Amino acid sequence: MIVGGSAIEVYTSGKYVSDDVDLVGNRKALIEILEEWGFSRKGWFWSRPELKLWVDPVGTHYAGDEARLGEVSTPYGPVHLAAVEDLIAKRLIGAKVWPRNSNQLFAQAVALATEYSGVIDWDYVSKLTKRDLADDLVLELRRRTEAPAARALSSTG
Amino acid sequence: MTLTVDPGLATLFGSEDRVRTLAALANASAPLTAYRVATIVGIKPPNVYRELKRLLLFHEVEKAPTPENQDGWVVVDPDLKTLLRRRLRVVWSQDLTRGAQERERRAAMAMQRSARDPLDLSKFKPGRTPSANEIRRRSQKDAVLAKAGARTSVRTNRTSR
Repeated sequence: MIVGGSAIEVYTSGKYVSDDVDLVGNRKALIEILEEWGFSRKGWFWSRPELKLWVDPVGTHYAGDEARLGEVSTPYGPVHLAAVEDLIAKRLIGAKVWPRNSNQLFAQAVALATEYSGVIDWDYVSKLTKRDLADDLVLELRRRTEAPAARALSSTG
Repeated sequence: MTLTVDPGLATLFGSEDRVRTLAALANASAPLTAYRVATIVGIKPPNVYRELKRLLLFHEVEKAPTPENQDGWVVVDPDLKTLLRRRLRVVWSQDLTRGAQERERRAAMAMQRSARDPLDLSKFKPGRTPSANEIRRRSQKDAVLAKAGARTSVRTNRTSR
């Protein structure tokens, strides 16, 4: 399962997060496969620099709600992606925790919220962010992303 | 692998395969053939045809040509489409690739809009302090990436709150 910035890249096709790929799954099995594919350990990562790929098997269990995961059906089998709501919540919390980079992190949340407007469970996002004192940013995000959509609708109606 | 369906949704719609069929169509950016639906959600094509015929009777789906001009299907009701996209998120990799440029453009526009109206954190309550583990982990990861000339996290250069 792909989590973190790489999942945001898949959802938005944007290229504005770090080059590492965070994976959640059975750590032992993941490492065995990565090593079979020629990846070697470098600090936190298993990497193949010639492929410009740095993989971090971050953990065994997904911290968010598995029922909301995204699934991409590929010719090689399904790939699971972190839920949009969990990614937005993490970016909003990050914007508060890392204030120097709040704009970039908040902008990534804006990009996700814009792309998935209408299908995001905002109550769930609020609940997740409340624990880390970032729930007020949920309102700000909604103000910024829902207003343009509403304006566009009213201008066509 | 077959797409997992919440039992409550299956009860609501009448069958797991019906939910899977609708979910694949609801999440697609363009009409899908029944065969493609079957490969996306991991069920047999005859089961998809059976569900599509039933859904067609109730006008929940309709026929529409795919981008490759094959016989495709779409969900008719936008509310039903939204409900399914909220509850079951499954897409075909080629659909992601096909829509990548447009998605990238939308994301870039959203980022630009954000940059024009920067977030003023003083208007919001203060957030929590990052843990020592969060700081150590991120800085160590970024050190490896920076050494290899790769993109690092935007959180790398945090020096003050």
